[in-house]
Amino acid sequence: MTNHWLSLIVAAPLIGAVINWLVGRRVRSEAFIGFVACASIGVSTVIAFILAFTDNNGAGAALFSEPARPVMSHLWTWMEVGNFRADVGFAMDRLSGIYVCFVTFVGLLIHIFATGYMHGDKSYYRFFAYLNLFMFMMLTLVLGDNLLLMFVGWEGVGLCSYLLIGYYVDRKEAGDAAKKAFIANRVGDWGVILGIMFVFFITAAAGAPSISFFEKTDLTNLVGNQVPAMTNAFATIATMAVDPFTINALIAGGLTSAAILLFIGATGKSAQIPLFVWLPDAMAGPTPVSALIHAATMVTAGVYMIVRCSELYVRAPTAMAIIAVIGAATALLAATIGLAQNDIKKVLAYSTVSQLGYMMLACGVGAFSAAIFHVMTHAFFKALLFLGSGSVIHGMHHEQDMRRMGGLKKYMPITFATMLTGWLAISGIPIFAGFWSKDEILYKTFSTQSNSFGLILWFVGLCTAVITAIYMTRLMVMTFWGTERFAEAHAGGQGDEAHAQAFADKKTTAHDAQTATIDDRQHHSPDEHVGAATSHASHQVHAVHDEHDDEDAHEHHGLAHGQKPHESPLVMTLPLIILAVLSVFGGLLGAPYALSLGAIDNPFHHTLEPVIAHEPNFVGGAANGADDAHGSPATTETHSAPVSANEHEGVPHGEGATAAHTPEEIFTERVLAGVSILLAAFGIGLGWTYFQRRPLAQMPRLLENKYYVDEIYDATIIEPIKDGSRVGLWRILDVGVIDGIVNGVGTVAREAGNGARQLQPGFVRSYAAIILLGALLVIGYFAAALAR
Amino acid sequence: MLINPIFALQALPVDVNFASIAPELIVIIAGVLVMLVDAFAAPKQRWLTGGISLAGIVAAGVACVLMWNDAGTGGVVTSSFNGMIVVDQMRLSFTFVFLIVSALTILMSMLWVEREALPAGEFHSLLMFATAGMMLMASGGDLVIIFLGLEVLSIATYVMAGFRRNDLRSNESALKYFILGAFSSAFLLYGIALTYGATSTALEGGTTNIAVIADRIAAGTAIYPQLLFAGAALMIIGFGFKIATAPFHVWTPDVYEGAPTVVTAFMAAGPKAAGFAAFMRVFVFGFPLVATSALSIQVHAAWINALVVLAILTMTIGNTAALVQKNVKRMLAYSSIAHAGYALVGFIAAGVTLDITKQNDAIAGVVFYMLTYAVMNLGAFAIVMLIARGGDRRTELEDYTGIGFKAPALAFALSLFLLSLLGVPLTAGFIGKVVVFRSALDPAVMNDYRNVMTLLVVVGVINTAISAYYYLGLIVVMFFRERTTEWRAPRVPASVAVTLILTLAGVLYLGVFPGKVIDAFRRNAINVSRLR
Amino acid sequence: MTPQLSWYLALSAVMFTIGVAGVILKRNAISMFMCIELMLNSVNLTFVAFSSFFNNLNGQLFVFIVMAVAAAEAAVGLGIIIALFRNRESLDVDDANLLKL
Repeated sequence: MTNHWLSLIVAAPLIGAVINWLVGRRVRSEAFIGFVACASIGVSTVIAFILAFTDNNGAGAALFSEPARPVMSHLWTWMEVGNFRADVGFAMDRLSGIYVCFVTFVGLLIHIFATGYMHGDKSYYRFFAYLNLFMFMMLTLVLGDNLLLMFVGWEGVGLCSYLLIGYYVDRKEAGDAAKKAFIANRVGDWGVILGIMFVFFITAAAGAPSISFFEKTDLTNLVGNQVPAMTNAFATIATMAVDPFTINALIAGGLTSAAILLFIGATGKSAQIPLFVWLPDAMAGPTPVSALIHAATMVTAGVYMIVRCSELYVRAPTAMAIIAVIGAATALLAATIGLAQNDIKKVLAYSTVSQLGYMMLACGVGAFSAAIFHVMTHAFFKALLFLGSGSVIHGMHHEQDMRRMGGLKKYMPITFATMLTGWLAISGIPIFAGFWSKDEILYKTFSTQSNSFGLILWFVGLCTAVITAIYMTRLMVMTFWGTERFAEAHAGGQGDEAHAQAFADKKTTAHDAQTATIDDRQHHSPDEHVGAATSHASHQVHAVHDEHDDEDAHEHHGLAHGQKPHESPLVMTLPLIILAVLSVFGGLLGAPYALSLGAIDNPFHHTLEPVIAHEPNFVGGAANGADDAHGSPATTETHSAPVSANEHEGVPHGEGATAAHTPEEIFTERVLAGVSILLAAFGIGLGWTYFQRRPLAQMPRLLENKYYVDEIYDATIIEPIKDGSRVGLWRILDVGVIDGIVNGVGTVAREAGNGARQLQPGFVRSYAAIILLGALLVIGYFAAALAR
Repeated sequence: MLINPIFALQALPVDVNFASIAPELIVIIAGVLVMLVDAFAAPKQRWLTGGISLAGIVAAGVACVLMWNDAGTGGVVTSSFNGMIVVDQMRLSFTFVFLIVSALTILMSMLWVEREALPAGEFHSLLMFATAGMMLMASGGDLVIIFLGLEVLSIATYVMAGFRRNDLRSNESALKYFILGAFSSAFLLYGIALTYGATSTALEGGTTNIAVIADRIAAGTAIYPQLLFAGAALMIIGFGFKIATAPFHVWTPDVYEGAPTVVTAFMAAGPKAAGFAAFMRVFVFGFPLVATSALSIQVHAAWINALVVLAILTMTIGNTAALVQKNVKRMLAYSSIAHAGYALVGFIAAGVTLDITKQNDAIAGVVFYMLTYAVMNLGAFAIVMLIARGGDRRTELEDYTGIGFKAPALAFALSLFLLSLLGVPLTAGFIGKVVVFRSALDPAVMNDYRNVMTLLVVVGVINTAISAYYYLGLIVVMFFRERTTEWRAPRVPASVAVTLILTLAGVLYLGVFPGKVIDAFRRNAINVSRLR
Repeated sequence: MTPQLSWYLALSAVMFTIGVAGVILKRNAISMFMCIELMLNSVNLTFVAFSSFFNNLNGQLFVFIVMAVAAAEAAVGLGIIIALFRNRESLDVDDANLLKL
């Protein structure tokens, strides 16, 4: 049904961005800029919740209307070439409804937080203009009603993320991190664009060319004209047979190829192996940006896309298996790296990568609703943790190194209390949000039938859960408990230097950052910091950081001698409190039947049920669909039984099927939950006992250096390409080939050889020779074609 | 009336129709007028000559639109001057692109000719003749006209490249362009000669008319089919030079770097598009696939395969070489090579699509691509020109260090153009790539070439990922590097401001509402572009 | 023995090749330009040969156009070469290598 208010959800942040960019830069009033930014997101939030939850004009709420119908707003037809049509139009169905609600709500909280955090920054307006622009792009991504418009948002959030990571323009590493993020994303994007093309041609081959997520009938545009009808691409795909489970399917150009191409894009945006390297570096941006973009919203876009295209994925079991394996591997790899980081934001960054791995794992085993559920709870608790860390960094005057924190709970009680809930949530302690979603993923992984190695994946997931509990405990212990190390001398850190510099530039009195004078800092050598017992260890640790510390030694920040950390103002703690409440109770939305003792039957899952794909045999409940899939020889050959992918998904939670909760399943689910609770408790206990005593313990060098992945990429990919370009193209083409060839015929005239030897780049004659060489090749090829 | 007997054998009723070459005539007359005004009016008349040129271009545009409507209503492709000139959608839409390029170049040149005290009249008249040459290349239905147009264009651009007479780099650029350009023209001409000979029949002799060439290949009446292969190969070399496909691209970086920036902008946008117009006309319509003729199948396969290899080489070499450039003009030169590669994908798609409607879609896609490329490229070069200052001295990457917040408007505009060149959604460049790659993956592509086309698109898309590195590199340099030396933002004169506004609006309009333009280019697809 | 068409074609191909070789081997800008002229004229020979053997005027028409174009090219080319000579006092094209990678 048409409802053009929907477009306002997307447009409001854009309007906010434009106002801040044009008016805000002149007004330069923080109150005005902050108000415009928050109000525009506020408008989006209110409309999003109204459309999602209320029965507007009898049209039905987007989340609850029966049968499930999306609210749509078609604006104009963007391009139409032949039978290829892409619209600019938005649609809110149950999936995008859930997404939009938490994106706008968490976004609003983070905007409010940022008005406090960025206080005193010299280009306040620019920050909020970018942040609003990001929200515009994110909402385009989520609400776009076709793949191409989704891709606009997809690229747009990447662009805004690039702008915001590089927000502190006077820092070189910010620029480099921004570029790295964008390029890693571009590498993934080629997969998305090709995937979109593939979807189009797959549907075109089936006679219904489309890249739309929704069927368009009976819609009107803004001026009230009828919109030409459009078929749903994924409904078309839903009628197709399942691709066989073989490696060959990857390159066969069918459903599996399309699925894997789209997934390549997801590895970029959602920071999976092999493209995860950009996310930790992205922490060079301001902390609210890390919370909003690099934890809660943008990085989950890959998960959103896969769930949105779930009809495609359930028909591509090979792709599903790859996704599951990559997700599990990423989760484990990132968690182990997170164990050894000392920068509070880096720990959270790797934690995010690890949690994204969980979501991918869920997608890979067909537990799409669990993946989205984890996206949502993760948005709550990870935004909380990031904002909490921002509050800590703010209170510590831009100190990010946990080795120079400690004992903060008495100075920052609210931050401490809220982060405590975040910590328990991510560690998987019952009642807290993270427990429900993580446990559902683990259970679904354990009981998956879409591949034969579910048990291994489950085990990897379980290990990750333990490690998660350990590194989060380490973070909490190093930050909030123990001795107050900030009073001691300190060496290099990766502080938000430019942020502090901004205050120094403005000579603001709101902060006492500038009281830590340059003289204060320069005499801190790596040797003299922190406790004597660990000085050797930390010396080694700092060897890495000190390299760039030397060049900008004056930029060290943190507390001057005798200063105390302080609690943050209300605009910063209020969002923390709200997010903390959500981190505690938000998970009950998706509490499963078995674990809630029958009190709640996973309403989250039931809401999503109609819009995500089911196992092909359950489509329409028709026997023929199932028979087609089962009967195809390709599928019966494989023992992994791809057609029965997520059968459990259909059975235990089938429509109106509380009865489907069999006692065995309930039992299994409870046992598994028990195991994971025990392991979480074990992880926390281990972390607590170990890091309480030795908060500065040296972690394994391999982990601290992130398995040297960056170095490996540099050495194996980036440098060779550059060298090839710099040396190869010219040297080979000019000196080698041309010289050789002309020398070969050199006997014709010695003069020729002499002349040709001097051929160099920049000489007209060498260019003529290259053209001639090319000409000879083309003519030779044609001669060969003639002879054939 | 006395008629030479040999002539009588071939004489057809002479089909003179000046209306069909109205845009070309208007542009040529405007060019001559500019020369006269320049000779007789008081010196320093750059606004006068510029104004006359712009008026000529607008008038030609109006003529073009009128013809467009005629061509639309009749639905029948017309030709005049005994097949020498064709009136079809492809010609008119290419003409439209050329006129836009020339108009923007004139606007940009106002500042430059003043800054360097160069003879404005000469420059504008040369530009008008170059424009006329491009238009002839698009409208020629016969190899004679195409060759003539190409030479008119080339000779004018040789002079324009060396227009800064006292600058050694400009001289060198002109010399290289001239020698290599003439060298490759000779190849093209030899190709034409051999094709002419190859299509000889016992009764009538050879032909240079593209439609007749196609007919003779299909009918199998050509006496020397072997020569046809040599002819096609040599023509690929000649046209390949013009559109700068690897390995015939070697002149591009040097010439683009040394030529005055305005001329570089023009060369990258205009002559390249004209090269595509002629190249596509000759190969897609002159050497089409006719299933009943073995010769046709052979030739078709040969040129398609050759172009596939060239396209892959062009995209890859253009992008990888751009990675290490330190000079912005040189970097944009390699970027223009890469873009020719992307457009070639659409060209090949037109060649391997037999369905006429789909083929016209593919051709319209290439025209659209050239339009988007022209707009964003001219915008980028306009800013490069402003930042380069007098004598085009400051074009190194380090000259852009840290200017982001000192000249925010310019830096943001340049960033937008670079993002469009990169192909970020909501910019023209993105739509251009989508349109071209779409036609390459269309189900209407012949079965034999499905995999090849997919390969081309994969290579193309991977290359756009690589290109992010250098486009973003420039943005990073502008915004994230500290500048140690003094730098003042350049003054933006009105004419360049207009250019920038038009190109910015164009990039966004074509990115957000491309529908109308694409539709206009592919309207009446059924009858368009068929010469017979 | 009457001249065959192939004789003319072979002659023009040889001339063309000599022209190409000259462009690549000569260092003097004027000589290079002369070699290009040689290439163009060899093509003219091809045109005329086909035209004459098949009694078709198109080829001769083309030759006229080529000659006109070559004349224009000569004027422009000499202008460019003179401009370069004035600034550099050398006709050696290998000296023109300011612009390179």
